[in-house]
Amino acid sequence: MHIPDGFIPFWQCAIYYVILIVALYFASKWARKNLDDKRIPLLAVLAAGIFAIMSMNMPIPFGTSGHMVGGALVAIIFMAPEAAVIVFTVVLIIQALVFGDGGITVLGANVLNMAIIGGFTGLFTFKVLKDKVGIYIASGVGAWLATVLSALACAIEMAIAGTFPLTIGVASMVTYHLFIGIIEAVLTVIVIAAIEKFRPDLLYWDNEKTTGGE
Amino acid sequence: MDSRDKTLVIVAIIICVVICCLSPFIASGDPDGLEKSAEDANVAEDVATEVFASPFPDYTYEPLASIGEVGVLILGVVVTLLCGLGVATIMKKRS
Repeated sequence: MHIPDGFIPFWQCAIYYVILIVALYFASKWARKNLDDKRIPLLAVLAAGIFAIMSMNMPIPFGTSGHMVGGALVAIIFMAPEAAVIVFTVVLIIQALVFGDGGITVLGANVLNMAIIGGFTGLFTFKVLKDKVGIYIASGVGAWLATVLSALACAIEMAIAGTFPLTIGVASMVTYHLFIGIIEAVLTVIVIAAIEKFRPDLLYWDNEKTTGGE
Repeated sequence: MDSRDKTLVIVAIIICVVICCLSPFIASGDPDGLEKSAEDANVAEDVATEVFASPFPDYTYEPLASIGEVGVLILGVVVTLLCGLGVATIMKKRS
C-alpha cells in the first residue's frame, strides 16, 4: 500500500504533510506521558519487525500479492494510535530514502493510511470487541478492518489526486485488500498471542490510565 | 535495558533475520494491491517517479543478486531498529 512519488500532486502532498505534523505533535505528547523506558525496546523491535515483514509479499487471488502492514498491531499493543504514528514515520522514511519503497513527497499520505487510519480503526475495533469476543478475535477483526479501510482511504486519495478514477480505484483496492487483510489479521493475532504469552507486562490493556488520547 | 528486554530484542532480531533470509526467495513477485489497482485503472508506468535515486532501489543490491537482497534487508532491519531506539529515547516519558 506504499504510494510512490508521482501519484499525488505536490500541493496535495503538502496537505498530507500538515496532517503528519499534527499527528507527530500528538504522538510526541503521548510519548512524553506514556512511553516509559521499559517499552522503548518494544517500540523499536516492532519498527524493525514491520520493516522486515513488509518484504514478505504473499500471493492472493487475481495475480496480486500483499504483505502485513502492522498499524493496527502497534496501536493495539500500545493502546494508542500515536505509537503507530511514531513507528510508521520512522519505517516509511527509511523505506523511502534508502530503498525507494513508497515516496518521500507522499510520506504524509502513507502515514495517514497505514498508521493513523489503520491504527485508529484497529484500536477502536479492538476496544469495542475485546470484552465480547476476546482479545484474539477482536485484534484479528481490527487488523482486517484496518487494512480494508486504509485501502479505501488510499483509493479516495488517488481519486482526489486524479490518478485513479474513484469507482475503479475503490473496487480494486478494496477487493484486493479484503484478502490482504486476512494476512494482516493472522499475523497480528500471532504477534499479540506471543507477547501475551512471553511478555504480558508490556501490554497496556489492563492499565487504561496510561493510554493516550484517542 | 534489563535482561528480559535484551532477550526481547535478540529474539526479535533473530525473527527479522529469518524473514530477511527467506523473503528474497519465497516472497511473491506479483504486483501488490496498489500496483495492481494502478494497472486496473490503466495508470501509465511513468506516473510513479523517483524524486531522487535511493541507494538500494526495491531492496536490491544488484552486484550480489539474491544474497545482496538478503544483506540489504538485514541492513534495513538494523537501521530501523537503531532509528526506532533513537527516536523512542528522544520522545520518551519525562518524569
